[in-house]
Amino acid sequence: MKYISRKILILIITILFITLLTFLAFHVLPGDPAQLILGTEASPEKVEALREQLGTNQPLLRQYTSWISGFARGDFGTSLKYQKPVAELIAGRLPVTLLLGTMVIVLTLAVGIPLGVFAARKQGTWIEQGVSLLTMLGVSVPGFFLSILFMWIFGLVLHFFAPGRFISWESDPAGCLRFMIWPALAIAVPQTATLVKYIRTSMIDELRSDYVRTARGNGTPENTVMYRHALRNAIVSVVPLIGMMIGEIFSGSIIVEQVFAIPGIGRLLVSSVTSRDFPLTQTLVVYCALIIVITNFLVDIVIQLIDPRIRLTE
Amino acid sequence: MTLFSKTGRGLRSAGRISTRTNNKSSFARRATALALAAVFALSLTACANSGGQTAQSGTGSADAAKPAEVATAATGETTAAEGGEFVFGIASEVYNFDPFESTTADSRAICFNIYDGLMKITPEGAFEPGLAQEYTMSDDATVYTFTLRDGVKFHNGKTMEMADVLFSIQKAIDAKIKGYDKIASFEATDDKTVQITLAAPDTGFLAYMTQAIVPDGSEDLASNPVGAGPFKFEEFEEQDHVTLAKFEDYWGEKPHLDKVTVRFVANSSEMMIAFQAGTINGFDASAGVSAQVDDTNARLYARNSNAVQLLALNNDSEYFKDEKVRQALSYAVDRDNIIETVNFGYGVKIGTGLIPGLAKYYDSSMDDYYTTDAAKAKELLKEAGYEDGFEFTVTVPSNYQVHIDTAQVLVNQLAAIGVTMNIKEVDWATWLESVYTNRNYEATIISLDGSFAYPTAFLARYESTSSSNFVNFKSDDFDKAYNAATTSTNDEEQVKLFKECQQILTKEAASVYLEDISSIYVYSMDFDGFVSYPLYAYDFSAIYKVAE
Amino acid sequence: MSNKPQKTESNKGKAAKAQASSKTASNKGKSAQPRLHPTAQEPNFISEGMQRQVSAVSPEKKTKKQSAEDFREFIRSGRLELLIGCVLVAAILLLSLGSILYTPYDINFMDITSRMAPPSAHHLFGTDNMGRDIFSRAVTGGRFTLLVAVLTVLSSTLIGCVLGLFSGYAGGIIDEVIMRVIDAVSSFPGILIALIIVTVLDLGRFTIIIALCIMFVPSFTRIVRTGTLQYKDAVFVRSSKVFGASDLRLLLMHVFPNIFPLLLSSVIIGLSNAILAESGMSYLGLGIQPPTPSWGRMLYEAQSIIFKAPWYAIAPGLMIVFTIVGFNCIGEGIRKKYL
Repeated sequence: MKYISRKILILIITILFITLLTFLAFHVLPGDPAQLILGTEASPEKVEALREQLGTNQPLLRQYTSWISGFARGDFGTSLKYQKPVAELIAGRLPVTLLLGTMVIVLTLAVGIPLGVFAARKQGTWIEQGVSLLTMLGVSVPGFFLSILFMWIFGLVLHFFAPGRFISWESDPAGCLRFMIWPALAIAVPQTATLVKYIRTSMIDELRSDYVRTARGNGTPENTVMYRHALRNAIVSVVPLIGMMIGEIFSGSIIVEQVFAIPGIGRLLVSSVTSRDFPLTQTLVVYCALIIVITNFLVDIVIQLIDPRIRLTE
Repeated sequence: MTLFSKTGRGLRSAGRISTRTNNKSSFARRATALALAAVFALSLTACANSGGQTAQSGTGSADAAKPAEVATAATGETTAAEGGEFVFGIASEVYNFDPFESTTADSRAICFNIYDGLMKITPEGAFEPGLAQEYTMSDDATVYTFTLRDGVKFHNGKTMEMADVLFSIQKAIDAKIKGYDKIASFEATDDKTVQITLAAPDTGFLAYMTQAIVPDGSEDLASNPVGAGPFKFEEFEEQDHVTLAKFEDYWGEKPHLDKVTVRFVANSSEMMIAFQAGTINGFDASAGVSAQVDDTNARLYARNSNAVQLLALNNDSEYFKDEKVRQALSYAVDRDNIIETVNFGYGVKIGTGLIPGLAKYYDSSMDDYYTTDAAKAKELLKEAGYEDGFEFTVTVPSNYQVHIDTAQVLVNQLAAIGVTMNIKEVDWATWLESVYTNRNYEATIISLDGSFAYPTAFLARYESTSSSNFVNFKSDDFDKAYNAATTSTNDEEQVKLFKECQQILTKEAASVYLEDISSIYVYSMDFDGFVSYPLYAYDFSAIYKVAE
Repeated sequence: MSNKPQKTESNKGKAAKAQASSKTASNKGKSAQPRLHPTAQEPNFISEGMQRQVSAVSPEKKTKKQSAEDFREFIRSGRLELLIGCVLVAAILLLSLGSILYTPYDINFMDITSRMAPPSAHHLFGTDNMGRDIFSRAVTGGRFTLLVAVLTVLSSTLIGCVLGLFSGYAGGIIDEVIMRVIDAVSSFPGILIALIIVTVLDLGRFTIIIALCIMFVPSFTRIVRTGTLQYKDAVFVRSSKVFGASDLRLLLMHVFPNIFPLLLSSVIIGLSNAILAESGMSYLGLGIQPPTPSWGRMLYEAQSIIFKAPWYAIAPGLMIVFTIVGFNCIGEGIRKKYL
């Protein structure tokens, strides 16, 4: 209990630190949201009037404190660009990103771990070589290249889906999945390749280590050696990687969302930064930070569960 | 589809030689299509048009400069079917539909369909009565009287009354809309007539009266726009689309389409993919993108974008405060080469700070005032004391690939006279603040558009004291000529004075004027009915689904 | 890439193969550095599956094709991969560095009469939308791209190692503080980091390296830290400690070498990510500034003409793939040969 409350305290401090960073970022960046809405044709008086209306004529520190105090009360503020509540905007995007993220993670883990183990088991055979060739290509092919390729082949040539027409879950769940599988694959392929590579490397390392040899010497069955000992330890070294992937994926993949025209968190973030939409950016950054901090917290716990050698708590 | 696109290609090349042959083939093709219609009903008829109807993509140059021809060349020989949905892709996002607030070019282009003003612009660039039935101008051009049209309905079902008009005018004045600062007073003389008195004579005032009329007491127009235009706002989704629906009670000629969806497409390759997949029925893109469209299977319309692309030189910066240096750069630049290299020839060379689309006022004699002449440029540099050239930075907004490409061509052209130009990309927000507002730059490349179709929309910024004079151009001659032009009541004299303004800009080399880049509108064969204006606008009411 | 000869070999009979694997296994036992535990030598520890394979082989086939066996050993030892990797990377480096001395065309020379031309004898990789020679730009771009990628990865690895080792080894409050800062940085949007760095530190066209470095540090730090946690309490580390080894010595001589294989993989993946991240930065105009070419920028620009001139995307795309495959081969080779 004490451990948990300490963790929560740290989490709050981290989040505060991150909001401060965003605040500083906006402090140094040039760009005026009012001018961005009005464009080049507006007179300075008009820009000033809109600034007043948006509240951006106040010092940024004031904007920050009012955002923070609102945030503490659960009010994330109003987007300057869209003049809509930030919560509403994010709520509209979140399901899409979560769905895509879940699909990617399921694909990556379901393919990556078995394949990595398989490759390590078959070490020294042409199967391993084949897998390592595939992973090598997988990690070497640029992700957005893959997106465009999928779009072209499966969208334009084979008509598996209509490119550029996102189907929302509410309107048609099956259609949505059929559409989302392609961007999910585009993200998952390089991620899977990376995972396979890491698992294979660390499995082979583990298989070479003292305790595995000792276990083998003692006549422990091969499967037990593989899964109870080697894989368990190999996973310890890839768990942080998986954690990072989860963090990255749930904060929205900007390029893939862009190519497939998916209304996700990533595109909203880019737009909020380029339009200097302070409340929206601030909230999105906090969301991303929460995802990352929480996954890292879980990563630490998982590592401890798997590998009792690591003790993080005193 | 493929079968016919091949023949279509043949027909198209024939069409270049003679339109007559083209038409005949089209008929023949249509007959064939009818005969086969029983079998391949839909696709064939659609394709049948592809032979004849590929509207000639007038190369933006020369003839496109005259708005009159732009308009007539627009509609093909297709017949309109009523109804249908048109999905149009644009490369930016429009998110604010308040006509008093959002003044970006794309917003105005979309709002053009939602709102009507007392006056309406014609494709020729003239102004005709809109929500006003008629108007009169006093001889001294200071008092304008508008009689309201009867039975005009707003999208909310309300009938337009005098209160709405007065509210809208006041709102425009409060919102500092351009031109409304000229109004000294306005009043309703009776419940159908509004009289506007100007502080100074202005014969061009009608141009400002195209500003939207909205219902009295309108609020939150940004996300709930209500106007009296041919289309009513239906729905908007951030970074995705805005949907407009036909307004059944429109006072004028009702639109053909039932629904128009404008999709905000993130990048040009996505635009191409979406178009080929049929997710969008048309789009507006630069030549670099549109040149890839298979024009036997699409209608291409190249039109002036009605914006002045220029290499803007900060007249207060170290090198460019010297007129000779600015002139040297003007001589060094090869505009034809830029148009050819960057825009595949789709652009109109200009020599001054006005668009050729405003043909009445545009001074075309300035087009060739500076001919590419490296020797002359070097000589001017020598006179200015930069015999060995110099180095400067051009700050380009990174969201405009066309300006970045232009910069890359300019780097080569300026290198020829020993001037080194370094490109620095900045994001749009940074550009707006650092370059445009704070004028903290040496040079930049941008396209300047006008919010209404009148020379002042382009020339006002060069007044010494203008807040939008981001090039810091200061010339007493210009100020005098401009002031005389805007207050002149004699049409002929006014045209002359506006031309004089342009000549001063060119001769004193306020900046290096490059071109009016063509926009290329690409439609699928299922849609036609394109109308362009000497203004950045999309007119969806003219677009129709092609009847089979 | 490295597997091609391998695959053809595999047709030649299961016997030779099985034998080779047993041979390699024993060989590997010797070459696998007894880094930390001198007792680690045991010939056939790779996998029992393989041992079973060996016993299944009939004895008379064992003598077959000694040379093939040598070749297999050459592959198994990782020398083939090293060779291929070095050849690829050397070729890319040679082309990139060679561009300082000679390119077929000036990289900024625009010839609109042959724009978007397909690959030909005149233009090896074709031309782009402004008629520039893609080959010249791709090789010149390699210079800048590799410089950015290598500097980014080297500096972020270095910082990541220091932070990770320190954080993991020290533990407690120091660990907590470092890791939360790392969390904060990694949850911070990359484009915001890049925008700020480019705005605040205007160091010319390579400012992007600093921004990318900041974005890359967190992942290296986390990997190193986890490894450190894993090994700092291992028996061999503790026993060295008993013998009075200093903390620094423990970290560098005992903990770090164990993390190294994993780190090597991350460094190589980091290189490809850095090349691609530069491409992503071009989206906001924050990457290497035009007209200076870079692979990332070329890929980004190629998107808009992908229908008419797909080769524009293919040239930098292939260069990236070759480079990454080359680095991967070297990494694999090193891992097999020395680790």
